[in-house]
Amino acid sequence: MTCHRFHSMGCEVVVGGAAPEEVSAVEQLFVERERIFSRFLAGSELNRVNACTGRPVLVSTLFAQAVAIALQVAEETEGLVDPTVGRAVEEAGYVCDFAQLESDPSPAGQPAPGAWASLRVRGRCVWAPPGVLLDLNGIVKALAVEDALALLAADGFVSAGGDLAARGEITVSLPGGDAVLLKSGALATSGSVKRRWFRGGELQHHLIDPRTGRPSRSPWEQVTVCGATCLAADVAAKAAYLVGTEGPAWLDRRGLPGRFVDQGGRITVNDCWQHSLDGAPACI
Amino acid sequence: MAKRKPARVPSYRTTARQPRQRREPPRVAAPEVEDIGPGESGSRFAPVRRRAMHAKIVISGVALVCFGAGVALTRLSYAGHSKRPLRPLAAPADFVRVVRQNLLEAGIVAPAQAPPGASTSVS
Repeated sequence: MTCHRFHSMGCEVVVGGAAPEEVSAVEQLFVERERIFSRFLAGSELNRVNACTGRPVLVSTLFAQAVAIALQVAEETEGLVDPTVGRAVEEAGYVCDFAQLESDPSPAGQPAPGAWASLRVRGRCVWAPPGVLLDLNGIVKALAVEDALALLAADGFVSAGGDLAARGEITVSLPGGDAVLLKSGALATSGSVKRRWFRGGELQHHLIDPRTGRPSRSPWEQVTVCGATCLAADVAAKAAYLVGTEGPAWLDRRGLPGRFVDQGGRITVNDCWQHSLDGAPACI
Repeated sequence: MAKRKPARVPSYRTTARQPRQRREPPRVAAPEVEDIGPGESGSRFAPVRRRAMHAKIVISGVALVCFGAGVALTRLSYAGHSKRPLRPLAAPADFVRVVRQNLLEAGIVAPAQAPPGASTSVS
């Protein structure tokens, strides 16, 4: 399978099994999504919305849909995956593209817990409370991968960062050296291995726990989840990471296969993942 | 008894119309009533009138209640009436819950059978 690689949204995007014109369409899609949702492009729609907190703002249809989905995700995960942690990410020091991020000796700012329940969206009108900054990166990349896969006519896959969606069966390598056959759906990995930095002598990373408003102190280093969609996999991986030691049980309750790598490199899989590899019926 | 006259057949040849004589009903002899005096007669009919009045009131009340109940039942059962303040249509709560559960639906994985063609690196 031929693979095409390019850089977008702060990570490497890989497109497999696509015709040249499909690859250019996928690249265009990622460029457009980055232009709308990036925190690091001055003129992005996200930054324009964040500059107007406390006032209702009329946004594009795509932006409004993303906010609506983010609110559904927040409700489904009981606030674990929260679109309003933009302030907390900035206070932790993630204020520019990760490639340009340097350690900062000044201490991290004030914690900023999530406030998704106070975020409102009606049609194309979005309202965020004063001081609350949106960060839709938690879902935008997964949605872009899904939309990009839909542009492919034949079997293939699209991967961006830890999010991978495929049409047709494909063997996928996992963190820690294993591999698994993805028969249907998508795989997503979330963790604190790649995007982490020091601020005030403390290790910071981009996975904010909305309950504390600080980078999560999860025992896991990387969590991989298989979902029917890339959004489901990505959201579940983030939530399972943030839940901490309850992560495997949290996924089992929702029938999602999950694989956890802890800080010492030890691998744990939940019951659903184990049953899938044993050939047992899927978890319900 | 007065002697009955035979009915006259009107003559169409006459121009002046003769007043029609009505046949008087046969007089029935009044039953003989024992004279019990005016005081006793009033006390005998008064309870009857009271019972009649009471029955009329009860029947009127029952009819009124039945009418009211009928109106209320009609309002409750007739499809064209709004029984309560109007609310916008919304999907049933169970349906919404099921749809939202699908947001986190699982995919399918199996043991690897070939070298990896892609990877899920951490984001």
